[in-house]
Amino acid sequence: MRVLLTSLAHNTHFYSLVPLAWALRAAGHEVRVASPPSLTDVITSTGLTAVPVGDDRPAVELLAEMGGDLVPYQKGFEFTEHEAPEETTWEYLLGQQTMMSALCFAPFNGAATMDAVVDFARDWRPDLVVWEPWTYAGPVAARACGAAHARILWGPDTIGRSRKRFLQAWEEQPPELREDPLAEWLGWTLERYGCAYDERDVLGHWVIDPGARSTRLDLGQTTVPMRYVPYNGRAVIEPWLAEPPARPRVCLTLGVSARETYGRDAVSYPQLLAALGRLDIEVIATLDASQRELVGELPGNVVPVDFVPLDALLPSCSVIIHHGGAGTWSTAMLHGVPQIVVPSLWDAPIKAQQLQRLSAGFNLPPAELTAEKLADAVRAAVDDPAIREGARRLREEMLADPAPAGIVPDLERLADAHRAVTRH
Amino acid sequence: MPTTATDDATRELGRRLQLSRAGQWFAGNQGDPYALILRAGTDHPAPYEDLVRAQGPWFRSDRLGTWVTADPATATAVLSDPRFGTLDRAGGRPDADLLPLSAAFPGHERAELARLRAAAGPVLGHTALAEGSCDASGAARRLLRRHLPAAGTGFDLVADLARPFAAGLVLRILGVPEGDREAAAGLLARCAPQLDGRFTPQTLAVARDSATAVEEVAGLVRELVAARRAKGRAGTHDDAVGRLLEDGVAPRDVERVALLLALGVPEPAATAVTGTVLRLLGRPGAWEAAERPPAAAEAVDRTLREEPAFRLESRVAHEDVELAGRRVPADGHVVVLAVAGRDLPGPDPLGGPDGPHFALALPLVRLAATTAVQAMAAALPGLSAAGPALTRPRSPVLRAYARCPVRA
Repeated sequence: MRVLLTSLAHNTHFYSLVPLAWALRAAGHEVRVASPPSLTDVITSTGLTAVPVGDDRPAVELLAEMGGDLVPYQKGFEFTEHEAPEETTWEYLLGQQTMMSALCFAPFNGAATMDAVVDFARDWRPDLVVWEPWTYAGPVAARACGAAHARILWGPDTIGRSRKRFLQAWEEQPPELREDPLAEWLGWTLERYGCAYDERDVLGHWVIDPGARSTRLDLGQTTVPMRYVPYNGRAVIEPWLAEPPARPRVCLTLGVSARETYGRDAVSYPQLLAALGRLDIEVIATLDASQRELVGELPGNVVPVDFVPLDALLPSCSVIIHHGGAGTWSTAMLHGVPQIVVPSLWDAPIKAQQLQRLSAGFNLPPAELTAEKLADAVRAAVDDPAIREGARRLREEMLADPAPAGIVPDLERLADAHRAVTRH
Repeated sequence: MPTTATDDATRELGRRLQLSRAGQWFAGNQGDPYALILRAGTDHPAPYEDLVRAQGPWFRSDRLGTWVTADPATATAVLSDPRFGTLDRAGGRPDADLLPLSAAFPGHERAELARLRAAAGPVLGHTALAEGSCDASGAARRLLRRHLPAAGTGFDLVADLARPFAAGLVLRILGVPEGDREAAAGLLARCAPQLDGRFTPQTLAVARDSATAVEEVAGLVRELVAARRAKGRAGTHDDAVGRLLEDGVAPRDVERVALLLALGVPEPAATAVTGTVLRLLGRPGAWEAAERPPAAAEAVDRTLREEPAFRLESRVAHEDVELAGRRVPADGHVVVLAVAGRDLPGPDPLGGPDGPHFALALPLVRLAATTAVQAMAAALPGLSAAGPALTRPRSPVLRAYARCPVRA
């Protein structure tokens, strides 16, 4: 079959698609990746076939207006395990849909991109469109050409949960007060291509979920569980990576996404490094040249590295400290490494809380972070067998799910079923 | 309903409306009280208005780029200062790109408004109406009787009575032929969101529909004036258009006055009727007492003071202005919260010669509301609330009602 993958032009969003794309390709299916031209080189560097579509001007302009710092924009997106009562009100949930639609989804699926993806899909006629959760050009293109579409997650399905909560609150509202900005946006977008809005376009005909079972949010959707397989970009194994560490190794990374995109780190590196310098551990700190300059002199037990593939590094680590980015969180779970999360953006808080609840790590919110708390958490994560056991359980959960190659027959079956329904 | 393909302009309009809506939501989440007023959910804006007032003469909303005042002295000063106009120096509405309105929506500058009010005063001012101009009171009483339900029935005070009554009255005053009024009333109701859309983006469907409706009303008003002129001096001149033409007011100005009435009376009057009834029903004995005209008038005055017909007034500095300790630069956007007038004397505290943009409509709003409240109190002494009243979302200017279930 023909499978079209869609991603907004951002590495980490796209990386979540790569192993499945290759599984489909290796099974003999035709695969194309549609994204704005700024991602073309990244796509082709994975060996996949790129379809440059539209542009990312609306997103770039919006990010410029936001001043590059996304942290203030998190207010209203409190994605936590147990929502506070004020986070389940109609007003709050409507605000979330309002901001998600206009500030997240619409800018990353601008007019030119939508038109171009639809044009391509109508011409190429894919059987299946697989889309990462921000890239609504995917389901829109699928609808425009009659294909099935599946949403592939890269974390707990907070968008889905927010949507379900919103729809429930919507039902409870008197008709005069009901509004639905996301349906409004998708509605006029789909109408442009002769399609009527369908609620299934918001969350996908079905969902491909690479999360560990205990971290999934049960939203009652048709879900295809898939084992997470890391793709962190180009990887080269440096000789030092092959050597076993002499002391417990701790990885400290704020994640590729934060370094490359956001103007300011959520936490100060020198503060963290000083605390870790006093412990009997080895710290592998991912720092690029400009960060190294900012940090100044490093404690003796800190080894700076510019970039290291986490998939290669983590098996040798006792703990990882990170901000809760998608790839880092999943790769650490897959390798059974305890995680200390200083959550910053989007769904990071819920991931940090899950890890703490599952005894697989610690949640250290930036507002509460102190050097002592960090040192205490590292000591506990290194020494406490319960934490190691919690992390190992998550690894086992992940390994119990089929690898991307294993779900290809499921995707074939679901695409066939969709075709059968739409033909009759 | 068959779907029509969304064209480029519609898609872009929708994008802008949603973006400015999200911007207000975001600013509100950061604690900006002006943004919380504009967000206009179902809660009452009083706490946010109080927060603005607590800031002193000015609250600067950095995120929305606006100077806001709820201070009586500053509000009065802004409204009476000729350095503040309606449009910016290039002739555009502030934020027109984010909050698009119909091109026909009134955007008169101060001098023009003063001219229109002076021309309209002898026909549509407080005194003129009180002295029987256009037989407004009589017409209002007759109209209301037609909308009164039988005792014991449940009805929606807004949709079944206040709104059709107010629209019917303004159409009668304008001289729209009786047979055309029902269709025209529907048209007027569709215009109301444009008054709110100046500050708070409406949904795409409502923004487009209300803009179309305003264009149609502008067309209707033009035809009305043309027809009245063609008719000449024949017939009785108990309609405002005929009276104004007879007074020698330029036909173009008569059209402008008529449009201000058509947009500025119906929903504010319906809101004032509903708000007053709700207030009186909440106080033992008050509803029964309102059958006396002075009590009804006092109750409506009270309502309009607490809940102004037009809660937000927009102005633009035409030059750098130093006022109340702040320097508002040329083209700076200033918003006056009309509740600032609550503690000022007089029936229209901010409604003097330099009052709200729709000040010309206020006497008729007051007359309509007073007549309706008095006549209802007399005819329906057992009126009671039959469920919670709902405010229309995204209505920061009118705070219009979506419904108000009552029992006669």
